[in-house]
Amino acid sequence: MNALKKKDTHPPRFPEWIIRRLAWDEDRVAIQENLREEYFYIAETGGTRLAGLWYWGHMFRSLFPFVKSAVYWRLIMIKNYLKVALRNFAKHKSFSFINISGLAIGMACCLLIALWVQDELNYEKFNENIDDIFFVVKWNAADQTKSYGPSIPAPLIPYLNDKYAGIKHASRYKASGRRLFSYDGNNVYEDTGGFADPELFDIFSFKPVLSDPKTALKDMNTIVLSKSMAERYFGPENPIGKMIQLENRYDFMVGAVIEDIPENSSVRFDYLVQFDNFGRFDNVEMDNWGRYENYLGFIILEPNVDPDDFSNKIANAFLDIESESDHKLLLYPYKNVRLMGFNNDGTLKFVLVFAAIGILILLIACINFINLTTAQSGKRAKEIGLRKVVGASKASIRRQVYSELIVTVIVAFLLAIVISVAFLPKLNTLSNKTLSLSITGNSSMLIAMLGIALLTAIISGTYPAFYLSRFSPVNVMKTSASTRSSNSTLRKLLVIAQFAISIVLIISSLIITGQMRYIQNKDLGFDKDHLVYLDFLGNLRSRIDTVKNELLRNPAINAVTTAQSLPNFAGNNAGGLEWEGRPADVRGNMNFVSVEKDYFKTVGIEFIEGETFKTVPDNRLLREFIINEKAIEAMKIEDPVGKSFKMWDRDAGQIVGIVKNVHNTSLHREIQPAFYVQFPYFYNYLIINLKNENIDSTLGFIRDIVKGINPNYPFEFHFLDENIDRFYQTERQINRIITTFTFLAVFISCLGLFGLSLFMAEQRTKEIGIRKTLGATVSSIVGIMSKDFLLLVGVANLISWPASYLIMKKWLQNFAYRIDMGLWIFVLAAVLALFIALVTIAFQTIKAAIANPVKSLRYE
Amino acid sequence: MIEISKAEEMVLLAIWRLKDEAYGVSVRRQIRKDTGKDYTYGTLYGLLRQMDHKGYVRKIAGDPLPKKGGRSKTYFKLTPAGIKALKDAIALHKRMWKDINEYSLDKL
Repeated sequence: MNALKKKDTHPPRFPEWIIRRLAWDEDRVAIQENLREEYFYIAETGGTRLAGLWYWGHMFRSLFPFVKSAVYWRLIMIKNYLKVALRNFAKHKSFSFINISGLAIGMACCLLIALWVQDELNYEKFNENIDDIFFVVKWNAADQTKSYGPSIPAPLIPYLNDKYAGIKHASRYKASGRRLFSYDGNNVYEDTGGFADPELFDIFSFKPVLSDPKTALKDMNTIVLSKSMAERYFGPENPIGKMIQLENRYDFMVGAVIEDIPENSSVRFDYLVQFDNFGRFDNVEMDNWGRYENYLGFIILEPNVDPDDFSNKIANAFLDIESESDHKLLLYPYKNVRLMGFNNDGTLKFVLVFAAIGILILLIACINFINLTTAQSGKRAKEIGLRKVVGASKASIRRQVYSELIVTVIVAFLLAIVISVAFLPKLNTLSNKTLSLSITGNSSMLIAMLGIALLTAIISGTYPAFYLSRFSPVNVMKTSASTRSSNSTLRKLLVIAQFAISIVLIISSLIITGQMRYIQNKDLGFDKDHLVYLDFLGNLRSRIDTVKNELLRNPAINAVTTAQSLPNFAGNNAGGLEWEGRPADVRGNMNFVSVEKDYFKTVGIEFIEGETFKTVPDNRLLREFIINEKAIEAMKIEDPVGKSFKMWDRDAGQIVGIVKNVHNTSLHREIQPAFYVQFPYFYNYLIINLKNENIDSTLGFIRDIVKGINPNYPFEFHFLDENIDRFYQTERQINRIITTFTFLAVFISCLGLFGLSLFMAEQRTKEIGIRKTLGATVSSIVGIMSKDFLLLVGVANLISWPASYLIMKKWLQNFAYRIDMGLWIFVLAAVLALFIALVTIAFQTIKAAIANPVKSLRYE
Repeated sequence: MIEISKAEEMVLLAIWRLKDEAYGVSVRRQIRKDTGKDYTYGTLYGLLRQMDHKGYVRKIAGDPLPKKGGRSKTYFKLTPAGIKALKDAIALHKRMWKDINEYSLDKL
C-alpha cells in the first residue's frame, strides 16, 4: 500500500465538488463517504487511474438523477412556500396591497417608458439598408460652431454622381409643404408629401403595393400614393391610371401605391412626385447652386467603397463650383440622425432621461418592498425560526422569500400590464406617437417585460432574503416580537434615497414648468397675439394691392402685409453680400427676410433709426435694406444708415433703417443677425394684424375676400402664437411626461411611507398607551411619531438640492434665454415634500394617538 | 394495498437481504448482484429519500468509524410499512402472473 502516496489517496476533486454541489443537504455527506469507500476499494484492486475514471463516470451518470430529484423536492417545498405566501397576503392585507400596488405602478411606468424608448431606438430600423444610407451634409468652415446641416443645393447630388465614382444609389428629397389636391370636384389640402428622385426607392425600404414606384417616379407627371391616401381618394377602386390635379394646375396620373410609411421613419410622405416638379410648383430655379439650398441628399455607396474615404474625397466639392467657398461636405450616417441629430441635438438625451426616470421609479417601488418586508420581519421571525429549528437552511429561507416575492411580482406584473394598457393612449397623446402593447406584435417587448419583472424581483428580493435568512432561531424564539426589528438604519437610508429621488423630480418639474411658462409669456419683441397668417398663393400674388385695400376697409383689421417668413423665423441664409466698410475678416453672409413695406407696422417691430421702405418693390432692383441691431454687431460697422449694401449680382442699394431685435428664432438660441429687403419673389405669407374683438366675424370677413379672389383654394388661416408654440413642442411633451412621472414617483414613495407609518404605529402601540396614561396629549404624540419621518425627508432634501441644481443647470443651458433657479423653488419643493409626507403619515399617527390606552395596554 | 415501482422494489429487497448491514455501498452492490443494474448514488439516494418520505425505510446513524475523524455511516432499515409494501408487491406479482408461465406466453 506504499504505492498510494498521500496525494493519490483522494478522489478527483472536481467531480467530488460537483456531486457535493448537486446533492441535497441531508444525504450529502453519506453520498460522498459512499463514493470514497468505493473509490478506495477500486483503487486498491485496480489502481488509482481506474478508480479516478470510475469516479468521473459515476459523476456524469448521476448528474441527471440528482437534478431530477432536486427539482422534485424543490417543487414540493415551493408549494408549501406559496401556501404560506398566500396566507400572509390575506393576513397582512394593507401591507400586501401597498407592496403590490407600488410595484405594479412602478413596473407600469417602466413598461411604458420602455415602449417609448424602444420606439425611439427603432427609428428608421425598418430600412434594410439602414447601415449603408448616408446623408450628404454641409458645414461651414468659417463658422466656429462647426454645425452640420442636411440642406444642400439641388444640383449637388447629380454633380457628385457624375464626378465621383462609388455612388450606388443617390436621391434628393424635398418635403412638400401643403398642396391643393383636386379629384372629382373636391379640393383638399394634403400636408405630407415630397419630391424625390426615383432612386429613393432603392435607398429606403418602402414596400410597393401596386405597380413599381421607382418606374412610376421616372415620369414627371406621375404620382406615387400611400395606401391610406389612395383609399381616401379612390376607395376600393384600382387607383392606377387615375388622374389627380395638384395646385389647380398640374395633372398627375397615379403610377404606383406603396404601403404607408412606418411612423418611426424620418422621411415620411403620403404622396411623392418627381423631384423636378418642385421647380415648377414653387417657381424655383432648380439648377441654381447658391440661392435656395433646402434639399436633402441621400446616398448609398458601392459595397467596396469606404464611407470615410468617400467623405474625404467629396469634402471640398464646393470649391469646384465656386472658386471661393467655405462650405464643406461630409457623409453622415442616416441611422444616427434620430438619436444623435446632426449636432448632438437628437432624442438621445430624452431617451437617457426617460430610461433613468423609469429605473428610478422602479427603484422607489423596490425600496418599498424591501422596507416593508424587513420591517414586517418581526412578525415573520417566529415562522422562520421554527423552519430553521426543524432543519431549514439559509438557502431554503432565501428560496422562500424569493418565491413569495415572485408571487407578489407576478400579481403586480399582471396589474402593471392592465395599468399600462389603460394609460397607453394617454402616453400616445403626450408623446405624439402611436405605441401599442401587444405580445404577438413585438417579441422584443415581451423580453423587455420579462426583464423588468426579473429585475424587480432581483432588486427587491435580495436584501430581505439575506436579512431574513440570517435570523438566529435562538434569539428569535427568546425575544418578543416588538423589540426585534430595531435595526432600521438601512430602512432609514432607503427612505432617504426614495425621497431624495422624488424631490429631485419635484424640483426638476417645477423648473421645467417655470421655464416653459417663461417661454410662453416672454415678450418676443413683436405682436404675436394679434397676428393671423395665410399662405400667399394663387391669385393673391397678382392681386395683392386689391386684397390689401379690401381688407383694410374693415376697422377690426389694423394692418396687412406680405412676407417671406413669419417674424419668429430669421429667414434664409444669403451669401455673397457686400457692404460699405466690411472688414476683410467678416464674411458677407447673413440671414435675410424679404418683406413688404408694411411688415414692420403689421407685426409690431419698432424702428430705432430710419424708416420703412419707400421705393416700389422690384425683384431685380434691391435698393433698400433694413437691418436689426444684431446685424450691426455682426457686420462690424458704425452708423450703418446711409451706407451702401449689395446683395448677390444686383446693383448696390442702401441701408435705410435699423429695427429693434426680435426673437427671430426659438429661445434656445440667441437672436440672429438679419436684414430685411423687399423681394416680392420670395413672399410666402399674407400676415394680418387683427383687433382682439369679434375675431370670428373678422375672420369671416377675411374669408369672403380671399375666397372671392382665390375661389379654387380652401380658405385656411393660422394664428402666429400657435406656430410659435411648435418651437417648444418637444419641451412641452417632455415637461408633461416628466410631471406625470414625478407625480407617480411621489405617490409610490408615499405608499411606502404610509406602510412604514402603519408598521410603526402598530409597533409603538404600547409605548403610546403608556405615554397617554402618563398624561401625554394627542398632539404631542403625533409630534413624537412624525418627527422621525420628517427628519428623513429633511435629510433627503439636503441631498437632492445640489443634485437637482446641477441637473437643471445643465438643462437650462439648452436655452439662450432662461429663468434663474431661485432658492424659492428648492424651498417650495422641500415644503411640498414635507407636507406630503406629513399628510401621508398623519392618518396612522393620529389614529394611534387618539386610541384608547386601555385597549392597547389590556394584554400585559 | 401499497403499490411501489420496480426500482423501489429492488431497493427495498436489497435492504431486507442485507439486514443490519444496509448502507449506500452495500445496497448498491446488492442490487448489482441481484439484478445486474448499476445504479448511481444519485438514483439510489433519490429513491431512498422518497421512500424515507413515504415511510418505507428509515435512516439509522451507525457507530462512528474507529479512526480519527471517522464519521458514522448511515444505515437503512425497513419499517413495517416497507415490509408491507414488499408483501403487497409479491401478492400483486402472484395475482398478475396467475396461470401464466414463460411458456404459455408463446401461445397466441
